[in-house]
Amino acid sequence: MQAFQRDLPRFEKLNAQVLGISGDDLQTHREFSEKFDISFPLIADDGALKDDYGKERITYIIDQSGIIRFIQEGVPDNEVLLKELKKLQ
Amino acid sequence: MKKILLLVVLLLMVFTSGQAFALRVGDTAPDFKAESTHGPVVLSDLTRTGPVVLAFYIADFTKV
Repeated sequence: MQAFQRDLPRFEKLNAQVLGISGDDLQTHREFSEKFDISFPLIADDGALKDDYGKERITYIIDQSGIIRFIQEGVPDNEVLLKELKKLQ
Repeated sequence: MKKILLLVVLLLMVFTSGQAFALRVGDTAPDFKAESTHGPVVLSDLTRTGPVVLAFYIADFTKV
């Protein structure tokens, strides 16, 4: 998530909203956000989202119509994600 | 022979149903409302203003 924070201005420039999701509770998320200056929202998932979206380590790009436009498994690669977001412009 | 055929059909059903759950490019992202560090978020509200990068990760305080 720190890598997303580092590149956040580049994502924002492309009008994209970054959301992090894990099974941590809100308190843990708040402590984590404070420690690493994470300014984008972190979602506390009770397992329902993971069930819907399938995996623990996966990133989706969803367009303005709510359609999945890109899926990246494993560690997110911001350069690839930014390139895909540019295609949506 | 019939039993083998039945087994093959059953195995195929299990195999394909497992794949059917995986989201693919072009699918509609399941909408959700969830609690976040910025208050409640609704996916369909966020996408109205621009694309959304939805990043699932293992846990806070880990390297990645």
